[in-house]
Amino acid sequence: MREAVRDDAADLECLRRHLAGDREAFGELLARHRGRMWAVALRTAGNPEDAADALQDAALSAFKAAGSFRQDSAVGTWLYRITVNACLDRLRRQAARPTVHYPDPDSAVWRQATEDPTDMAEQRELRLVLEQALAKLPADQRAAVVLVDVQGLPVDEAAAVLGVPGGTVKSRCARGRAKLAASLRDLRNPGGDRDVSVQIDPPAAQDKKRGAR
Amino acid sequence: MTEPQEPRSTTPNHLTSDELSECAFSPETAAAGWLEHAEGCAECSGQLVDLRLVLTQLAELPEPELPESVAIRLDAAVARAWQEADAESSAPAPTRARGTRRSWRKFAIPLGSLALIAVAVVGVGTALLHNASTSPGSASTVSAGAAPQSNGTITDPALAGWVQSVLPETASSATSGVQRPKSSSMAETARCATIPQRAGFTVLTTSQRVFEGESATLVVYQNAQEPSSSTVYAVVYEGSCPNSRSEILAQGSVSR
Repeated sequence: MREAVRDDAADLECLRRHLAGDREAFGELLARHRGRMWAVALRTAGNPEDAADALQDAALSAFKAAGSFRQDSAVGTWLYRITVNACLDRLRRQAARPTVHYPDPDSAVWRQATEDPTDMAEQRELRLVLEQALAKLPADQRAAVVLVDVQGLPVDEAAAVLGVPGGTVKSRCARGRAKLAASLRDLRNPGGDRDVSVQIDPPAAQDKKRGAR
Repeated sequence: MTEPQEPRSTTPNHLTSDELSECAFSPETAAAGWLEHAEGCAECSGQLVDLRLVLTQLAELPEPELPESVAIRLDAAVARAWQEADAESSAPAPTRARGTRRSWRKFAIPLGSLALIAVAVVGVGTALLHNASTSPGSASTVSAGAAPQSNGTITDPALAGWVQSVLPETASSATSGVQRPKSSSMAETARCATIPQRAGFTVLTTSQRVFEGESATLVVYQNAQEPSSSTVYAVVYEGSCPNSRSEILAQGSVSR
């Protein structure tokens, strides 16, 4: 579903044309990647407004930095990197402000992002809780989880995007996943004590129930 | 020394979150000892099950669709970036790539509406541009968005000097804006009847000279409603007798 469609040669050709002054080349490059850039930005930034701002920042950065692109990574990886950095920059600047955004379950963008029409209610609730828990993770853990677990990037590519060693990506993911798991546990077991929660097979049972309907 | 013989025996050291994560995410690279422990430890195996659920759910989150409004913003941002790039390359350096500017105009016509959004975003959406953009010559107006500065004020000293040199005397302009332009500069372009008009503005004066290695005409406009305003608008057109389709080399507001 999230297989990285790598048409790196075509991407490089777009960059080359862009640098040669072709007015449409950058738009073409962006058109091919902006869906994935948006997916990363939306979940890394945590809300559609900041994601849109970050995506615009990212597009402009890429536009200006095209000339300094070195082929030590795929163009797509480079664009991911610029996007994630734009999101983290925005989050850092906002850290001074006390406002914390959580995904608003009523916003159309989030509804669209967390639902698909075939979903059953329990699946919808699970996704909403997951998205909210994701938005509450520390930014560095969230970025790692979004890239590796949501977007499906290999750990080494995520490491290139984030500019940290693979081991750091792994441990950020591990800490993030543990918190997400705790949130889902709370959902299934409200009021239960997280520390002694021993649930061996609820997901399997749930799947069977869903499948049988 | 005691090996865990029974499946549920409690091992003193539970797996760390890194180890559990590795077991759930890539069991093929996880140390055999970790998986072995997890199998025998109720707590760790429970956490492993939870982690696998998280991974499955994360991977299955629907890919959000890029909202149309964001797509439009991106297109406008790119159009604006080109304008700024053009302004940068045309302002200090006389070696301006004419070919690329022509192709931008071609590009600007179908995307006119987006480019207008870009102009508004930059904040150059002055009344002048707004009025002019609704006039038939909107194609050249869009490329005119390549103003020297995004805030619309001319800061290039050479250009500002040119504007000041053709402006009527400042002393009396405060009381009566209806100054006669210097006859010398007017005479240069007196034979040119095609000077572009701007809605809401009147032509205060014109001047012709070589600008960035090309023959160019400076037209200074003043607000028709407020002729005594201290701000005038200067536009440098390509050629000695510009018309509404002439390329704009520079423009911006100037205080007199």
